[in-house]
Amino acid sequence: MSSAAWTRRRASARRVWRQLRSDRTALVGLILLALFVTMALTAPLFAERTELQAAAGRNNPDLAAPSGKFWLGTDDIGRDVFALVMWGARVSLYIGLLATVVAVVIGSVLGLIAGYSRGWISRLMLAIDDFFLVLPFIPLAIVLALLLGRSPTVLALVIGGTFWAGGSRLIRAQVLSLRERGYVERATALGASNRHIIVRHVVPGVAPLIIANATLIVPGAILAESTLAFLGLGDRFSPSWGKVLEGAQASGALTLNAWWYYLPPGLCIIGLVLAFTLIGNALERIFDPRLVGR
Amino acid sequence: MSDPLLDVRDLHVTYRSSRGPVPAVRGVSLHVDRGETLGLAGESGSGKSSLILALLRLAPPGTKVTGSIVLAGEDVMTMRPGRLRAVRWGEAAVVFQGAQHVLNPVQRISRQIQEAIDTHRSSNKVVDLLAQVGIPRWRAHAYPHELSGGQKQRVMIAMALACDPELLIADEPTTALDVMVQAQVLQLLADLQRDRGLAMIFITHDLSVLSTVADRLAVMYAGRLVETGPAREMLRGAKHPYTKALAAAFPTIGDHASRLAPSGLSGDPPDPIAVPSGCPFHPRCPIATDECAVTPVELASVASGWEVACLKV
Amino acid sequence: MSEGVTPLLEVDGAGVTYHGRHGGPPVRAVDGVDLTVAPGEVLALVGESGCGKTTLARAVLGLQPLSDGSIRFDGLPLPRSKAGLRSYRRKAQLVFQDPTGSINPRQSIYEIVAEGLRIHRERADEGGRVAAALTQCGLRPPEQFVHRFPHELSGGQRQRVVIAGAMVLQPRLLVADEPVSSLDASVRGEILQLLLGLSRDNGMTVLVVTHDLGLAWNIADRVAVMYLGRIVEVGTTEQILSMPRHPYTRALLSVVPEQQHLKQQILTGEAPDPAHIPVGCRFHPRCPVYQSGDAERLGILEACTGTDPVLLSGVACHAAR
Repeated sequence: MSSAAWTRRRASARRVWRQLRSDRTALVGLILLALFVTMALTAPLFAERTELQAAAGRNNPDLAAPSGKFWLGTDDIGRDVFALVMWGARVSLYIGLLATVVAVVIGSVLGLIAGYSRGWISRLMLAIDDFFLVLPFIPLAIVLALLLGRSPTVLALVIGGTFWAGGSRLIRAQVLSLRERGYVERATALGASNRHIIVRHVVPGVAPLIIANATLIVPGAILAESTLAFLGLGDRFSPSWGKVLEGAQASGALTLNAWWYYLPPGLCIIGLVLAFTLIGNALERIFDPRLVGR
Repeated sequence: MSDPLLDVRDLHVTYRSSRGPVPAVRGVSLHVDRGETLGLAGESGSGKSSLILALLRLAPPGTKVTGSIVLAGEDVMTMRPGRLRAVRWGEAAVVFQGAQHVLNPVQRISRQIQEAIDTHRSSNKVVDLLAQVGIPRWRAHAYPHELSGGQKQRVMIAMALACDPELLIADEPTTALDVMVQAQVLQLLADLQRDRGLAMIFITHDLSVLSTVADRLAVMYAGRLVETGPAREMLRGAKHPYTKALAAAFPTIGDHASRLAPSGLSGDPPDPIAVPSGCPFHPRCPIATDECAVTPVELASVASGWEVACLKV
Repeated sequence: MSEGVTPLLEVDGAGVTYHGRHGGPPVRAVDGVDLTVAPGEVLALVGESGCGKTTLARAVLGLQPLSDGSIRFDGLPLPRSKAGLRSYRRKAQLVFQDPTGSINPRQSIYEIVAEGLRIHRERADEGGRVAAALTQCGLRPPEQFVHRFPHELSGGQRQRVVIAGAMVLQPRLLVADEPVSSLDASVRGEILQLLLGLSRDNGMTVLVVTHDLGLAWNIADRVAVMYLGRIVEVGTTEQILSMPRHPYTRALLSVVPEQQHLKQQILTGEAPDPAHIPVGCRFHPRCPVYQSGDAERLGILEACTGTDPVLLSGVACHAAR
């Protein structure tokens, strides 16, 4: 790419960043996101990883209320809830982001093909897309997880593999519109191959939409993971926030009013979901296809 | 002589925009008598569209409009909202540019015209109006997409006439049309004008069209008038270099001077935010001299009813 | 056209037929066109909307496959294969009506002009050729323009960029579809001058598609008038615009403003649908000669309603014989 284009891309990115910062709701989202990322990165400073093991809680009181030693109290087997929540940030973020990457890659590629091709290929893509859109996610995820394993990576892949359909539709619509633009016709008249048109004209036109869409898939993935964890999947000893919540529910923390056990992870899930939603919505506004490309 | 139907004095229209205030119209005075057609010529950035919007106070909120606009003896600027609504369409109606895109695609045209009639409680009948503009009865309930470009334009004209206005403002009504359809629409407008004693402001950048419809001509450039006068004489021998250039842009077929010799101006019409100093036309003017860049220029009379804003005339 | 010179373009009985809408009758957008274009000349293809001129132009560029007939470029038929079309596109280029829509707002001027070279993998001296094309099209000095983006330029400048993007491949044929209709009036002249100059200086053939007869007067050597998919009259610009023989051409000229010396003949109705082409002479339902009774007097009434006239010495009309 020529230097002029790079300068423009950088200036464009800077402009988007500035617009994002000036949007108040996006700013809240960014702050929240920064908070959770810090949490994930600094977890080792606050607690050893070993604190998550079953053995760690042996000598500690179970379901103890918050105190000077245990800032958020202990869980039903005596583990430090604060440690669980801090380390949970890593798992939740990891699964959420990996699932999103998978969903975005599949969704974008299929959306691109569906939008650009004509005839039976396009119809086939639409049918596949429809199929995945109506698939009941939870039963499918449970079955796949049981078959393939319960590690966070597998969970992320399973979620990603079922979440791509909504974004793919959006991308297909945008690609359809881009395909008819005057400059695509001009490129054809110049003798361009499909590959040239897709790489040089369609992908740059669709990229902002993909980014905005991806940012909005993350909260869905995180909630999906939380749901699955709550239903029993996931690893108790490297728990995501959803898994911590499941522990709280299973041990009756709600009835026992052990709020330190279920409130922190619950609030964190809400907070992270909110963060990505706010940022994603702002990005969507900034990248509105009606304003872009004209 | 009776008072003019429309009398505009020293009109200034300044928009708000993200780049700062945009002075689209910078001191325009003109008048239209009853039953006459004023041709308003100008290109993008000339301010002609802003001028029309301001006439009926249709400019977007936040726009600063100063000057005086008197329509049929009433001051438009100080009209109360109720009276203004009645005047809009009842006394003066506008046929906008790109009218075919202004029609609601999911409503039948009869309904859309009826809406205009009902809003003003006019006694006109939709079918009669459509017949007057040459749309047959059996088409009266069509959807806009079922009509051709020329027919849609006729619908817009019918809508404009729905409340028997005295002044019709047509913004580039034939620009997107084929030459035959354009001729049909022009003839329609001429017939309607004659039958109803309509006054008309006809806006276009094609001076040759104005030669057939306008009684008087006013040429705008960068928010100001550069030449006004009797249409026929002006087109035969324009005095301002910009008017000459506009006239030459659409050559007369059969004139050997323009055969294989397209004539045009260099540069582009100025952005209203950055109007050149002195005479705004000087960067593109073939006869400009140094003083043209520094001396502001006003309209000055060169003959009866003919004014030109040029230092070289 | 002088003897012994191979015409650059030979269109022979060309037809483009689309499927009818919702099972309606087929649309014959181009219905039997014969046309030759000499190298280096400027030909104006005029007609109103729906006459098929744009479809014909796209067929000439290989962007629209023909249903009937043939097109030969430089003596050889148009290629059908992808690779063949690609190499053809180096020789025949297109300039669109709307300069803003036909360039990608995200690309710099340099990239837009260089795109053709990159598509055809001509890397040698890319920068120099881009600069030369920009200069050739009046964007001087090129350094001032290469780093800018379309939204920073005016409409006229954008059209020059599009033309430069076509010229960088040094085509032999340039098809310009309404090249100035979306530009300001005062800018038209310069763009038309540019097109005319490019033709004269490079021996490039230009096919201008337009509904504006004044444009044809300004830059065309020859004019071909189309109606409902057929060419109804063709000849030099002087012949067609000063002494038209076909009633349609005469009517078109009579309504051009400032042709006051001609009696205005405003045709009734709109141009009919190419899905319902009239039987016999396709123009006869609107033809002033037919409607005024002159056709009867000339004894050609049956011919007008029964036989579609062919182009004979430049005009397709029974009355012109």
